[in-house]
Amino acid sequence: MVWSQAISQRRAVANSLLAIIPISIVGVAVYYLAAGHHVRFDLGIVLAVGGVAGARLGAAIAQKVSDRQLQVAFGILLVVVALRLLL
Amino acid sequence: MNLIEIGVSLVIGLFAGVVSGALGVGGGVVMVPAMVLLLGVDQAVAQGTSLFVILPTAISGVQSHYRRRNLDLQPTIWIGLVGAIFAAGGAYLAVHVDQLHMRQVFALYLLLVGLQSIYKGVRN
Repeated sequence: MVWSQAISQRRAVANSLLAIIPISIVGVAVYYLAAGHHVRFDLGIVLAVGGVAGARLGAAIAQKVSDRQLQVAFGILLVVVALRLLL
Repeated sequence: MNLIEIGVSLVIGLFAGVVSGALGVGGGVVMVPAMVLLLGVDQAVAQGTSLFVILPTAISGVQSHYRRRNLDLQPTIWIGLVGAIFAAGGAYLAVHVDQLHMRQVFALYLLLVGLQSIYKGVRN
């Protein structure tokens, strides 16, 4: 949503958060209503609690460590996890 | 949930939060594989649960942006509604496809996101 120059980066983030809400609600509903109830609400709530604390910590870390190091380290981790899932 | 599951989930959530706070990456790329590999959750359940985790974060974010008048309600609602239709289709596919295939497709997606992140870091 950064394409429109009239919309600043901050507005883009805000609007994208708003657009995600109906997307997420419908997605969760379909996953849950399908046979097998593919949503663990208890697990989700615990993950969200950790996530809120982590997001603040992450923003603080981003101030101190360089983007490059974080991107490379995270990328390597994802590649390893992807291979683990495949093999 | 037993205490170990709760502890592991808190750590997974924390790590997903750190990564998204620091790099702006969605938490799903961390939470979904972590649920599958560390908690033994089915691929589809991990994906459905990860979608659910987005909700409280997005709602609290939207509240604060609404107060600061950062939202363009009309165009965004349309984007959200069209997105929701496709999300329904995607979710329907995800629960009906063979879970092993779903996991492999997800792993390929992770591989691409990982390689892209390494490329960005090296290029910068």
